[in-house]
Amino acid sequence: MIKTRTWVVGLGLMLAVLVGIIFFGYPQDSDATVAVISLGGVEIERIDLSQVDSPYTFEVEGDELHNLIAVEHGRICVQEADCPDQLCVHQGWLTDSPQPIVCLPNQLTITLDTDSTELALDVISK
Amino acid sequence: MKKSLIACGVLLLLCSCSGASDAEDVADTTDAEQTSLTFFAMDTYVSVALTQGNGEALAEVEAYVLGLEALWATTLESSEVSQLNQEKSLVVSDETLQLLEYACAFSEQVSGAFDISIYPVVKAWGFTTYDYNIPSQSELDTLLTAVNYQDIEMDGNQITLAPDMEIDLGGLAKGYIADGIEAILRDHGVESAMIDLGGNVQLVGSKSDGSQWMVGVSSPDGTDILGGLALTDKAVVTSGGYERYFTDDDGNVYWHIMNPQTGYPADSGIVSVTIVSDSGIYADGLSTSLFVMGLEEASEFWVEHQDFEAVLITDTQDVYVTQGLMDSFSLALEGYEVWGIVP
Repeated sequence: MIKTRTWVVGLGLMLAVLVGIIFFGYPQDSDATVAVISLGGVEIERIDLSQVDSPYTFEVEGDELHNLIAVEHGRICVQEADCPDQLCVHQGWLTDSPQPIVCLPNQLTITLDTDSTELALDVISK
Repeated sequence: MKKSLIACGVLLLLCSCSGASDAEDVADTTDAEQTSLTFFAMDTYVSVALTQGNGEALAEVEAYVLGLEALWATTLESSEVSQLNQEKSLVVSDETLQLLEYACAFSEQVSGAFDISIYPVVKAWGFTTYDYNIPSQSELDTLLTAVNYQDIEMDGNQITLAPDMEIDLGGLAKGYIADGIEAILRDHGVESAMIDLGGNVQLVGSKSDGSQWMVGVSSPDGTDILGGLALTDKAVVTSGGYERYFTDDDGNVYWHIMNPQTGYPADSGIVSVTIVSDSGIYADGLSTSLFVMGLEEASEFWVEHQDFEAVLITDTQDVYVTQGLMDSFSLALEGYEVWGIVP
């Protein structure tokens, strides 16, 4: 009897959440920062960094090279790469910059879709 | 779980995308409303963003860039530059001739602080292959005998190099191409756009709301933003030592910007130069040249010409800003002191 009641309450809660999502959408962080990862000009992954709770990594395999990408709440970086110049690794964490992380040898780019840069920069000369 | 799920997703996407070239991918999405174009060319990441859609202009831009890459890339054996380096004499296209003529005239203007024939020296240091190496002085002395832009002969479109000479147009090509992209966009009636060739920035007009673009200037080590420049209708090009460098066992840093006189990485006390100019090619050439010149000579060059503006950063963390940029430059990084350069 108790078990059944728990199930009913549980199902009711799930239904309420589902209805909430349908009507109001997923809860959005006001500083939503979406990282767009592309390989050879083709978008392969889109991550809302404001929704990342626990850090994780994943690999991106190009034709010959690979990049290990680390994701944390609000930031993303290339942690490891087997490209010869390691420029993508040296670029460090991308948090709010319009400057994309670029790995030329593997044709990987990570860009941020955000409006919240400190200087409201449109582009970076480097 | 999350990791593996995403990794699988990436792999699936990769599998589904393999076999399609960059050009095809972009062509597929080309339409009248297209506002942005990104692709890899000229050993860089090319990005063109319009404030109003114009797919026709962007398609022309892509074809233009890939066409010039095919002529000038030293990494392509079939390029005119590669053939010229190998054969030492070649009838080149009008575009290559135009860039070569500009390169030689520009080298003259900066008194040899810039030289397209430094290429064999850059190769000897390993900067083209990432197989870094400190060449011996005798090797450099031998290589330097063939470094002299004045030994490039031009007879119409027939170009002849000295016997051991090899050239690389990479120091000006991005600026030339940025100017060309701007011309294409303007021909198509584009009034507001941002062109970014791997950090070589060219601004067309102002932003869609009429305000100025805010261009970040990278810190000398490339990890932060030194400051911002509020600009309209300008080319902005930065040369920094830390773009490409290696460190020896004793911790000495060797970067890719070479002094054509010594064959060694430029050691002028300047660690970063940003040039603001109406011309992309001029800005591109000057950013390297002023890096080689050093603060005093660069300041004198600016006073003498005053047809560009500059932000020069020294290894003492001093930032020197020429008069025309004093109002538009804002410092964002602590630990630096800003100085003005006036005539």
